[in-house]
Amino acid sequence: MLLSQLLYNPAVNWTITLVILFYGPVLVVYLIFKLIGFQGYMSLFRFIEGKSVIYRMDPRVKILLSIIVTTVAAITIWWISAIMFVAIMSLYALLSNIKEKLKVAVPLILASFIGTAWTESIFAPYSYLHIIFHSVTFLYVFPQSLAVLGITQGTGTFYVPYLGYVNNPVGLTWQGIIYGLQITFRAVAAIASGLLLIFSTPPSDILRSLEKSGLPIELGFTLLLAVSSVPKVLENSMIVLNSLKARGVDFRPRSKNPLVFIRESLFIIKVVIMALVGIVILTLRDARQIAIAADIRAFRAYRKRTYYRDIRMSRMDYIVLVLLIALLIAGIYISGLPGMGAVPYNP
Amino acid sequence: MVWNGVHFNLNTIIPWPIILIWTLLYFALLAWAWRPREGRPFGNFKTIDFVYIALVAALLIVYNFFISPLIPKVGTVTTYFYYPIIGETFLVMLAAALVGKPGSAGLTMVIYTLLADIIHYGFGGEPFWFVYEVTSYAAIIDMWLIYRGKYYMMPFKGVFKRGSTTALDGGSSNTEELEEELKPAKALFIVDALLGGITISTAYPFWWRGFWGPFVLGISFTPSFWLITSVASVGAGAVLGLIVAPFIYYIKRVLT
Repeated sequence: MLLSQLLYNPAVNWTITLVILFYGPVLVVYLIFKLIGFQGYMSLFRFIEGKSVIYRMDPRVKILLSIIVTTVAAITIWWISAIMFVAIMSLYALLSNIKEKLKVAVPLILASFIGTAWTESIFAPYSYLHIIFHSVTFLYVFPQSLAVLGITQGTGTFYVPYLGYVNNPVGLTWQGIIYGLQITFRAVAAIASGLLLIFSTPPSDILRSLEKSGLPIELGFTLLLAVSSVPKVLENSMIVLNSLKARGVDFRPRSKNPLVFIRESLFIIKVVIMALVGIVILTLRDARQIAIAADIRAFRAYRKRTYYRDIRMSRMDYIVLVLLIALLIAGIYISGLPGMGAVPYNP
Repeated sequence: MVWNGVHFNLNTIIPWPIILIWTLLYFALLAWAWRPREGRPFGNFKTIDFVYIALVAALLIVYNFFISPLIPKVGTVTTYFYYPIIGETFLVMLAAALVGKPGSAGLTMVIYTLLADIIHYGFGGEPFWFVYEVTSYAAIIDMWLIYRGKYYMMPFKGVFKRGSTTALDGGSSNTEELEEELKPAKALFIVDALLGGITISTAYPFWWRGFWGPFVLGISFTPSFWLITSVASVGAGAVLGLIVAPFIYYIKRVLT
């Protein structure tokens, strides 16, 4: 009784609601910034050579792996996605400098889990949850007025712990969390396979493989330049953001007064725009020199180009290709079995 | 049927024929803008244009995956006024302004999407995310660039005037050439800003919620929510476009 009065006291109820509404994004930001940081992001774009089988595979096969894993994950039940996710993560053991790679991959994957589970726990439409799980349990009820934000609202009377029976409650559901976790497995299997491609393939090889697949040289050049420029942009960003911090700029609104909080937030937005101008000018200043360098190397002068090192499919690539096609066929077959299809997005 | 994460759900708020017509129209524009010259695709584009697009795509990656999450977001506000989109607005409009050729915004979005797929999202949902990104974020800007060209995001317009060429001996020659003269056009500069801001701000609420999200992911939104957020994003886009416009003009002047 006491707990009930405490939990659903209007002030406490609003406070808990706001914490629940914001904890997902805050945790995602924390995971990305505190655990990965600038250096972690830069390591995404700095290829480190390795000698294992995963490094010797043709990039086209690894791109196909990503596509087939995403397809099978999208059409089959969640635990098949989970198995594929674990299988791909086990391939990370073949990467060199695995600790550093996991330092980037794990927070990104965790951020997906937390972000999606959080979103679905409070935003999954009640009709979906009812059709998928047949019954819906509200763990905590928010103020009714928040229904306009699209938060899950039950139809009918529901028992809510520490509150009793409530008509058309709006709030956090247990099935929403489960639903969010289930559909996240689709995304994380794809993210893990995409990161595996990045970690195990030099950017130039990815681009050459795309060119071999028919991508025009102009797009290949632009893409390669974009990939190789990201660390430079990150360095420029670090210089500009650190110089702002050195001048006392705080990127987090800290005030507990809502008006001051809004003012601080607006100030941060203003600072971000000003910082962006500095970062953009620092980055684009060298554009003309890069263009001249490309032109004097006869960029676009001939349609056919030669390469120091060509990419060819090896026997191992063909074996992996056959395995991937088998996985796709198995996935299509399994998805047709009763109860083995994907958790529907639109039941 | 689901293929590569695409649900092909046609129960969408914006009817699929409208999307099809819009996509075909824009792709026809791209085919014209990127048409080969002397056997080279993207015939109108120079090397410097590709460099600008590559660098802006790299900036977009850093902004969307690193700087944007730094901006505090309040759900009740961002649903209707997604202010973190300001960086994307700024960068896509900047690419279009620096290159100044139809198809430049589309090419920027193609490179950005390809890069984002490689480093973060994976290729699930493709090729439809490509179509969504270019038709929603870039189409209107590229169409407007046919008219504005290199003067996009500048408070000027070029007016051709007949002028006589001066002969080497100092006298006037008989041949007449068209000379381009700059004329102030502040209203056009404001239209540039409004169109760019509104295009990018409405991309997610209008196009994604109205068609691409439900079509690819199979999720659904109520028409009223779609309408309210789309209308709100027009206002938000106008504000954001006007905020970034002077910065883009300043950078364009510094760099070109």
